Amino acid sequence: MAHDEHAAPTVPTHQEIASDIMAKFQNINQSYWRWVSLLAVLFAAGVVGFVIKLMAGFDDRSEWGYYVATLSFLASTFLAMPVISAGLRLAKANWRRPLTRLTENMAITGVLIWFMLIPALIALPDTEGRLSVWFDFPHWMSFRGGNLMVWGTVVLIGLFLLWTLALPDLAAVRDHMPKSPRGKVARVLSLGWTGNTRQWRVLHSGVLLFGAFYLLLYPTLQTLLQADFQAGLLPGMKDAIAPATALINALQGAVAMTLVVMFIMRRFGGYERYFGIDQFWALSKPLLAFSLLWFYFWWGSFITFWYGRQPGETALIQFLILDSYRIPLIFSFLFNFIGPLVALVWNPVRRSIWGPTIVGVGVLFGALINHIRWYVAPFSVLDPPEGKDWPHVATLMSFEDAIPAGQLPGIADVLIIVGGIAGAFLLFMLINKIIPVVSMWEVGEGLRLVKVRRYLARYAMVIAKSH
Amino acid sequence: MYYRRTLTEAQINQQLLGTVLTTPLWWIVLVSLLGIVIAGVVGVVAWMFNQGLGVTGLRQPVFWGFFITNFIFWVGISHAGVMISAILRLSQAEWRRPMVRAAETMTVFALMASLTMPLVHAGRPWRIFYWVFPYDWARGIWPDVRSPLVWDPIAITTYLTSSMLFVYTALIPDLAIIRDRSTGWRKSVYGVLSLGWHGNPRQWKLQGFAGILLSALILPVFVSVHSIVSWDFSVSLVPSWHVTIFAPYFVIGAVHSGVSAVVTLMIIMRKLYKLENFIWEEHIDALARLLIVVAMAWMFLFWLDLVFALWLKEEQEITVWMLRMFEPPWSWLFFLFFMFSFVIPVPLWMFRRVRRSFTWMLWTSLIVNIGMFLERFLIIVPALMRKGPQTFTYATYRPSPVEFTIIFGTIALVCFFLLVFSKFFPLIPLWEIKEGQLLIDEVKVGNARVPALVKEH
Repeated sequence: MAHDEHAAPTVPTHQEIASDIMAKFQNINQSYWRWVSLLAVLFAAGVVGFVIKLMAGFDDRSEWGYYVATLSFLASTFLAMPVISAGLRLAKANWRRPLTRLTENMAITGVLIWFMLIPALIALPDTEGRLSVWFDFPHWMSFRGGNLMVWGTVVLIGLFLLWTLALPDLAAVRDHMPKSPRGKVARVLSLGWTGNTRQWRVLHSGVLLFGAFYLLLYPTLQTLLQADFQAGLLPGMKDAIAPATALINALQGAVAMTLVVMFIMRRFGGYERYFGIDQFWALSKPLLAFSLLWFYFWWGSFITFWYGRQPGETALIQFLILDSYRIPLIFSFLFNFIGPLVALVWNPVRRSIWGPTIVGVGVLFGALINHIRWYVAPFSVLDPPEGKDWPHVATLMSFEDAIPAGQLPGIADVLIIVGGIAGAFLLFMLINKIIPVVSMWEVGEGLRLVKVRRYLARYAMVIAKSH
Repeated sequence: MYYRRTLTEAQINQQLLGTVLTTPLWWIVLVSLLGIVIAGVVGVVAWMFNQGLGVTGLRQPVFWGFFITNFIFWVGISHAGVMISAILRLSQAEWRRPMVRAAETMTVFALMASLTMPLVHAGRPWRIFYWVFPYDWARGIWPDVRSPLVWDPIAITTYLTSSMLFVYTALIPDLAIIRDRSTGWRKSVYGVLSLGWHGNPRQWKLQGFAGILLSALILPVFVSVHSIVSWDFSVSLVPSWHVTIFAPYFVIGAVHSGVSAVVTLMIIMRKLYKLENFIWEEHIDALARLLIVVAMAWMFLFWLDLVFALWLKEEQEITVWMLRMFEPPWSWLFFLFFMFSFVIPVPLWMFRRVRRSFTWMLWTSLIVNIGMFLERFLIIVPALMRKGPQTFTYATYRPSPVEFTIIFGTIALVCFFLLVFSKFFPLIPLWEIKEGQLLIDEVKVGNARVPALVKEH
């Protein structure tokens, strides 16, 4: 909880916290429905955009670039948020307690993302004859089936992580709202939780297991995303760092999204006491670190290509950096690196509510632009001429005549971007009324480990090490 | 079993200043032995300079061998200091306290050892100056600033300077304590070095500020050093070297190797200097957990390096990897490297009992560094053994006894420096330990009393 170090901090009881969170959870007001309706309308607009694309068919792959960019943006922000939860839990950061549920609830967006993956995979050409991490497996299952399986596993593990961690709170909802429909759903989902020692032990083991699996599998998802949807479509692209870059960008996006959602929940949901300075301050540090790493990874790739000067590398620098997608790169550079660096290097900015939030919004905008650069560009590269193979080495093929120009979005593309993001938020809003957005048991557990002690003229929090 | 030892300030001073204020016999014996070894190695180096590089195993086209491997190895080890000290200081990890000084010091000495290698490798060390400094003003011949070989000395000397500053800043309060307990010329020397430290609030404030500032400033230097070393390789077009991932792969590998070296050093220090009251199972456990994370990240990058090496299906690239992985003796070395760096230690570290065993941690951390030395060797040598267009077989490389001796000499050099340092300065920071004692508390949770920490702001 937020506190002033000069005054005696007040530590509420578990009972007070549980009552407060439950009251907020039970309350579904007009404002909530207005937000849900707005998001539903925007999501419907996205569906319209998708139908327009569907009617155009899959023959022209360049039509699907913005769709894949949206998919990738969602997978690299919303779906990366449980990584934050799992990582902070493994690191035993005490300040995490109020915000982990928020990040875990975002796992629900994986359902939408998984369904969005199917048309994206159809839009991809077969791997036969082109570069692929699936190498010489010619059967379509190897990359389409493989992607669906890996993405599906990540989504399922995310949902299991959420479910396992929500069991005690679902039981609380079940006991507080026995007659309401939400209470009935909670009764089914809480799996007869009574909070005995064995159940707690199983919960802790499950969380460790699912958290570790999520941390291990999420980089694989990013690797496949980069390899199949980007590198495999760009002649001469040999960028081993790209999946790691994508992973860093995803973590940056996830932290930024957590900050922004915390701000929204604080401002409009009445959760000021849970998402306080401590949480914003603590999260702004990894945001700064990931922003610095954003540049480092980008530079690592650029300098190797720049010095290599092989024909494919020169063409790729022209295409992705200096020419066709120069403007998106500049935007991304400003919002993902320069902006966070200039702002978050100052402790007063980090230690505020507005500072990290504004930087977070910028980072998300920059990330969206960067995903457009990453995925619209390869989707605009034409297939090799009839009878010719995809390039195996750094020959240029499609680049021989001219480097493709940057592609601007059409109306359907804009609808898909807006609708996709709105759909993810809509699912988040809905799940928040089934599973409380702040974990009652985790915050309560944290309170038991904290005591206030007086040291000379000051008060300080004493935190027990919970192992 | 979790337990803490609470010590008074007098006990901390007495136990940590033991070797500084008195000279044990084992110290004299060890320093003398290492001194003899180093003198011998200097003789070997001098002989090599006299005879030329023909006495080594370096032959065309393999002109980078053990010396460059060793250079990268020691630069890697040097990454421990900043990793442990700066990052853990910034993240306020409480368990950092007993290990920061030793890690920072090891950084300095490992960098010094690494800097000797390019000099030795050049065969004619004075020629190094041709690369770094302009040597012919009249004809306008300048070093090529676009070459990473020029960036290397700049990055490493910057890192060395900042690391020394880092060590020194954190030493000042301890130097004042030694000053107050010394007499004669030693008192004067420590008096000058402690810069008039009396521990007033302003001095502490400045000290804390300098610590945080240096921690933050040194981080980019720390990352840049091994990145630049990696660019020595990746900006070339040698098959298996020209890969974009080398910078983070080298950095994370360096951290893996460096943190393992800190574990080894802490355990040996604990035994030699009888530091059981300061280095606990908890500290080694925390380092092992950190190592698990680092090793997993390193494995991810290694896997990407391998997959994307095969990605373009280029014959030369695949050949180098096949050579590394399937052709003896390289395949044996590859097997050992992989087992020692990851397959053996990481699963073992998953067990709490191993993480808290000094014996297990000593051996697992040692084998990690053997593995990481082999990794650098396997990156360098097979890639250079390429079959040229006019040749029918691969060149090979076999390090000569001269190279083995010099490599061994660098290990002796770092140990020698550390022992000499420990005679004049405490290897565990007294003031950090005392500060840590003030932050220790207990909280009653249910019927148990749980160790707790005061939250720093």
